[in-house]
Formats: sequence, structure tokens, C-alpha cells
Amino acid sequence: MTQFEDELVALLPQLRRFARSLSRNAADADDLCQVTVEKALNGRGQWQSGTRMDSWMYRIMRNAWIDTARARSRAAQTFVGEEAGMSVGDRGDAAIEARVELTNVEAAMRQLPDEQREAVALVLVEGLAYKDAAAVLDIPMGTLTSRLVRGRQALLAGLGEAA
Amino acid sequence: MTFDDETLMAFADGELDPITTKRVEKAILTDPAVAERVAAHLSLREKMAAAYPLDTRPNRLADPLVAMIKSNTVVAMPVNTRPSRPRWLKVAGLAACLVAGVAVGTRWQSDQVKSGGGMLIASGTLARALETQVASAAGDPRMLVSFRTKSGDYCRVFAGQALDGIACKKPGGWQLIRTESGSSRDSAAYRQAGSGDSVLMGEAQNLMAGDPLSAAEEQDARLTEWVTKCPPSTSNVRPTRC
Repeated sequence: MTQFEDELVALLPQLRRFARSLSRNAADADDLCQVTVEKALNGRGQWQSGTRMDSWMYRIMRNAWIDTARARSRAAQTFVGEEAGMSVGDRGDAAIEARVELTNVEAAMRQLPDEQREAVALVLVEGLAYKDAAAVLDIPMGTLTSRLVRGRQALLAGLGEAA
Repeated sequence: MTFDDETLMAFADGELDPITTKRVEKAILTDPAVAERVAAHLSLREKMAAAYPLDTRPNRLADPLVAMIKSNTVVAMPVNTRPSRPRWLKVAGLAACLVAGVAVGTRWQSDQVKSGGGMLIASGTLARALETQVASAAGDPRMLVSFRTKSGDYCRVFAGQALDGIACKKPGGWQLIRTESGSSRDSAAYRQAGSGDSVLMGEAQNLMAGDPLSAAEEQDARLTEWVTKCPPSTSNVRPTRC
């Protein structure tokens, strides 16, 4: 394999995570990864060796998500997701509490407007520096920090920990 | 001194300049409200990381995305322009293509394919590779993914210099149910592969029942199911290879 393919394979765990934080369900996330990898392979001529492939891939995925998934996600939002019923019958033991906690975070993420969710996903989930996240989203730093702070406030409020 | 939430968030994210960082650190020690808000931001970071762990799949060989990436090996083309690759050819049209391909003399290696009973059957190096080669081992052709169909057949996706395709194990041999011209070509100039291999992988996914075979399952199938069994002997002459 070439360096390009090695790097792309190595990035798959992160790409799948990013897809999951953008999408509202696992099937959408899988589709998004598939489309993103196809676009990357077809557009590999645009990638410059020596530059950061992760930022390039995040950008491809984010654009693919805008292209294909948003309409579907909006449609899905009008229905009650399965997560709404997941805490029913909670017996309160540690394992179940842990799962409910994760579900709460995901549920809170899904409540965010798209612009805030992608900022949160890049900085809090993927761990990008502000300037790198702003570059992926092609927005000024000030716009990123403002989306990020609003997204975080909403998440904290949703999780019962208003700051 | 009071800080807005944006500053405290940036502090939690390690994005503040050194001077402001010092100021916030001082405030955390003296102002419980600041400490509480910083703690909330830090706690949110931890929760997000826990809620979205890295998504690693244990069996990389069976990962369709890994296979897709590997099968799109940069292809070397002797010329700058490559004609768009044929889309999926139906079995009915394959024989004609085969003849044309052999006539042209570059796309198909006749020793890899034979026809029999209205089907295209792998032969020669391709048949041997299908029967014996583990997925993703080096070689030409390479085996990308092995799987079972809903009707229980064993099938494999392969990519080679002459031919890419999907072959399924039948009593008469490995039937080529999908083929297209090979993706792994050698030359000095690198060129981007077409999307044909992802089409192949997508087709494989449609045929697949459950997940692709794991390395162990593939090995098991290879030893028990794939090696062509000798037909019942009709004479005293024992066939040398079957």
C-alpha cells in the first residue's frame, strides 16, 4: 500500500467516531463513512503529501454530511428517536447508569443545531485545536468559538449542569 | 475579576494565551464561581470523550472500508488518460467481452478464465489463488474479502492485474459472477483508480449474508470447502489433479 492508503486506513477509527457524532444513528454514520472514503479515493489527487490528512478527511466528511445526510436527519428529527425510550425500566445498577449517561450525552448532542454540533464534534470529540477546527469548517475563529460556547452551554444545560 | 464563559471554555480547552491562563488560574483559587464553571467545562470534555470512543473494528481484514481503500491501490497507467471502466457486466454479456478482451490481448489473461456450462469459471492462477490464498496476502490477484451468500455459497472479491471480480464456489469451480478489468497494473506513472472497486465491494455487500468471513473462518473454509473435490472416478485412471 502507498502512504496515502496507509494513512487513510489509520484514520478510519477517528472518521467513524466523527461520523457518529455528526449523524443521528449508526446506519447514517456508516453510510457517511462509506461516502467519505469514496470521495477521498476519488479525490486523492487533491491531497498534498506532507499536509494533515485528518483535517482534509474531516472536511470531506463534513461536506458529504451536508450534501447527503442533513435532509434525512431533519426528517428523522420529527419522530421520537429510540433513545427516548432507552431509560425506561432503568434498574439503577452501575452498568445501566453508565449506558444511560452515554445515551444522555448523545441525546443532548442531537438536540444541537448542526453548526454547533459540528463545532463541538471537532473540538470536544476529535480534540482539534480551535484554529484547525475553524479551518475544517472554513469559518473565522471567532465564529467557531461562539458556536462552541453556545453548543457547550446547551450541552451542559441538557445534562443538568448549567455553567 | 470576572471572565466570560468563552474565556473559561478556552481555558478548559487549553486555548488561552499564557497571560490570561495565569489570570484564570489565579481566579480559580480565589473565586468558587469561576472554579465551578471551569470544572463543568472540564467535566463536559471528559463526558464527550467517554460518549464517543474511537471506533476501532477488531478484524481489519473483514472491514469493508479497509478493503475498499486497499483495492483502490494507486494504479499505474502507461498513458495519461484512462477510459472509464466498464460498469457491471451482466453474466450474459461476459462471454462476448471475454472474446473481445482476448483479441485485444491486454485486458484479459486467457489462462485465468474459462467458460463452461454457460458460466465463466476461474482457472489457472486465478483459480489457485481463489482456493488457497488468504485475504489480503500479497500476490496477483489479491483476495480482498471472503463471505457467504444468503444461499450459503462461499464467495471472494479479488483484484488483479488482469481482472477484478467476485467469484463464488460452485461444484464446477469458482464461478465468476462479476468481473471487470484489472485494477492492479504496473507502470512507472501513478494514477488514481476508478471507483470500480467500491462498486465491487458494494455488490459483495448486497450478496453477503451477515459479516465477511474472519481470518479463522476463511482458513476453515479454505481447508474444507474450497479445494475442488475429485469427481467420482469413472475409470481406473486416477486424475493427476482435480
